[in-house]
Amino acid sequence: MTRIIAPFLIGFTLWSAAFVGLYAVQGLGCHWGWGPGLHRGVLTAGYLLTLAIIGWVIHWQLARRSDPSTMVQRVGVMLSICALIASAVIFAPSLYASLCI
Amino acid sequence: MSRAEQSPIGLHKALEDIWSTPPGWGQFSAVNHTILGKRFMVLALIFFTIGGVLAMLIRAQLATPASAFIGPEVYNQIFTMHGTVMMFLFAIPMFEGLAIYMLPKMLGARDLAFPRMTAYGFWCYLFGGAILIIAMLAGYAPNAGWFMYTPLSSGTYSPGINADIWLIGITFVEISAITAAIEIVVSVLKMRAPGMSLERMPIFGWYMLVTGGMMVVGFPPLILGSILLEMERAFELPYFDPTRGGDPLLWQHLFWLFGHPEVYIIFLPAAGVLSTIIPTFARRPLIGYEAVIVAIVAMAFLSFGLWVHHMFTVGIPQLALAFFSAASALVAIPTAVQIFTWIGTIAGGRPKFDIPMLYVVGFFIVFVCGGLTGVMLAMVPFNSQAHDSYFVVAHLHYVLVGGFVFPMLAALYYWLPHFTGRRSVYRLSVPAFWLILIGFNLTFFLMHLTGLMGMPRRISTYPSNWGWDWLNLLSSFGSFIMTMGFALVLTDIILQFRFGPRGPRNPWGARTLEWAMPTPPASYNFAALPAIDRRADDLDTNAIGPRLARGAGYLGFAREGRQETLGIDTLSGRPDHVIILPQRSFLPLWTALVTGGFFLSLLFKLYWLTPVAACAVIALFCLWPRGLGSTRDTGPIDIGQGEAVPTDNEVKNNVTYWASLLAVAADATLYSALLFGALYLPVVSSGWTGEAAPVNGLAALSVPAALAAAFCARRARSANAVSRTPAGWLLGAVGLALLAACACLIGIMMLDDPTSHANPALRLALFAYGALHATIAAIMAGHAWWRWRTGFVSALRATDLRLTVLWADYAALTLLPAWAIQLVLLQAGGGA
Repeated sequence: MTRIIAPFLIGFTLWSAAFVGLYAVQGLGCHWGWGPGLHRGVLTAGYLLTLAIIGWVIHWQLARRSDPSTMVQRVGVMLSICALIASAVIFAPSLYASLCI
Repeated sequence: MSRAEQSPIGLHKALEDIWSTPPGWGQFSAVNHTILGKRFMVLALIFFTIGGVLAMLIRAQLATPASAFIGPEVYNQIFTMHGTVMMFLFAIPMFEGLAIYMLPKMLGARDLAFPRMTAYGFWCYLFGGAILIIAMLAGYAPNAGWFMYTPLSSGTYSPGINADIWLIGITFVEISAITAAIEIVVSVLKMRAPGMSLERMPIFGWYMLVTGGMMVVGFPPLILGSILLEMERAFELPYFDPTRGGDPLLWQHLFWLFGHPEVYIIFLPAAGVLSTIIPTFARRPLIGYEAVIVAIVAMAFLSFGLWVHHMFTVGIPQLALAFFSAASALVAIPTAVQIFTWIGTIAGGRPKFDIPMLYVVGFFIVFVCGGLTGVMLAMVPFNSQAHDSYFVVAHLHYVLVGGFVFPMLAALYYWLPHFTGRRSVYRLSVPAFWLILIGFNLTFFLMHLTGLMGMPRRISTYPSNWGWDWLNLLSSFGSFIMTMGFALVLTDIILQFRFGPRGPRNPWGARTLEWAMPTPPASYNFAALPAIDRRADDLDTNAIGPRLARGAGYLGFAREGRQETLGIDTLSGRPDHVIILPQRSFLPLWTALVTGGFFLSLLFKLYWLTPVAACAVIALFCLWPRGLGSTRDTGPIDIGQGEAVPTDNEVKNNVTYWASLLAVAADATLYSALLFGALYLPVVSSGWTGEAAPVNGLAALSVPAALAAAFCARRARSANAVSRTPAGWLLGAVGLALLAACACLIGIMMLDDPTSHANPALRLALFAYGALHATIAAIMAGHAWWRWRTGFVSALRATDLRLTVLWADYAALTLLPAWAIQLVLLQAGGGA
């Protein structure tokens, strides 16, 4: 089962995990009174880590493609690329938006 | 007579004897997907009519200023019920009904994976809906809005049973939705025609697969929210009460975690319909098949990341607003990808126009407008201005009517010849369309203006000097025009059933499998299952149909009175087992009736009856597998075409196991939402000061006991795999799981007063969840032991043991985060 659904889900599952993680860090940082430097630093690291991990997944998926590629492989890569773009756009405010107000 | 010599008529009669449902009382035992799909759709249309009448009352009230037509109390009930009926009792069951009817036919199967579960889901839907409608007629309808915001819906501000009716009735209906979702996902993945690999699946199958997956993880947060709110209302547990450590925003999070994906759950099946109809009328396959799959999966994920755009004005930091605003805007892209593929398909084909295409054009006009206002509302500054105004009412109707009702009307006209075997009379169809399109836009376009002029939603009346008078009057006028259109559609359908001439088998020249059968369809769908060698939305159905009717294909025979269809390897579509489906039964009806008794006991606060009803439901469910499976290993059996495969109870990853995995996934989502709540309140809510009461040490025994039960279940499976007796290990699992449940109950009993603060109330919820799942593990182990004793389990037939391991593992694993959070709550304060 994992073999079948993983290519479809891996990119956006990572996006979902990053969403939950960054949203939680935003809330907990405010709750625990982190200074703006630490808070921003953790969020920025989370943002960059997310992009790096999804980027690596795309690289891995491309490297594992058969020749000719199957539909599952092609769709999987396209979905991971979409997840990377979605992460880059949606989480970009981690770099600049007001943290707790 | 040998199988090879059976005539098409003889084969038809032999299969009908096995698959058909007897008339009279026997109809209550129906489990056939064709019957139940139609029942779902008819009932959904009845609820649509009720919701429409309520809408007429709303528009009659708002047609003129200072209207005394309906008082505010009745008005509150009417708009609450209008939203509730349309969202929960019309939209979701309508597409479920279409999927239940259509999926096996499109995928080349004889039924869905769990026919009795389909029937149970239908009865739950009927009874849950009936509770709401009867309450409305009795004057006790819910009145706090269809999203039931706390504290308005809490006991303090909504005394009486109105809100309880919503919470209990909707939870009852949600059971139907979850069962249908699991059934759809499993059927799409495992019950396609041989050769129909994932890349050959008709696009409607992809849409329903993604929708089913979304429902499995989208609905549980609402079920959890409803349970917590009902616990607050019934037992004073303060999950949403800010004076005792709760928070009303927790309800909003739980509701919209369900509520926003819900919009896409409604839209995606309708988009699947469009992706099926448009290629037929464009006379070419859908372009961008893979791009559409990418778009719908991306849309499904993104739709779970924008729920907070319903909460932009509650006071959320800018960073969080920016996340959700960006996600809300971005979700328009996969939607646009689909729109452009449909336009491209029409442009690249040789389009012909007929009634279904009229509604497709209506969809384009209305839905694109709704999508654009959606992007406007995704922007925080605009949303802050338009929030809770009639602009939002206009937007949501453009999206939902455009994105669901218009496509469903297209579907109705497209597949009506399939349901009836008749052609449309067509005299009323065209004027009906224009009345609906003009009436809709007159009604709802003007609401954008009233909204921008400041008219808030839900007000029962307004003064005459605010400039809204003529806009509201025209809106009401438009709504009555639209109603006339819907009345004409209804009349048209009745006329087609009554007077429509017999039509050809495939009137549109469609190329999907549901047209490769006589219409109306036989109870078994296909006399033989087809072998698919190309994409299944580009088949020569007119040639395939007669071949299948002759029995030329897989399983083209009747065997031992069994309802047989094929299970396949998900990826390749290679047949790998025969699924023997359960036959008609009254058990789903009885189980749903007793489930209704369980919910009614909660509604009327007859708490002595609740455990009795719960035990009766469990006992009835334990009767369901009786007679299913086999007491001997049979090995591979003939499926035609020179192939032989084992039966479903002799393979590991059969549909039962897949369904259980999905049930665990739904359950885990509910649990994740509970864990989110348990972390959210200490972080966000005020009043978490003082010392939290300690946890009783005995309760901690639940963790080792549950882990030991899971170990015993695994040992039982291992012993069975080498043909040794698993009985001892299974009984050990029963005992240990019950011990874990008892330890959790001790934890509940030793809690401080759980009504005093959200902290003990949350701990109660976590203990109760642990106790419930340890009990489920015990029941599963006990049931597996009983099946082993009666000969239904062997080394080869081990599904019962695999299910026991699954649920015992889950029960043990859930206790680990539960205890981690217990420790967090111990540190979080909230003693008093």
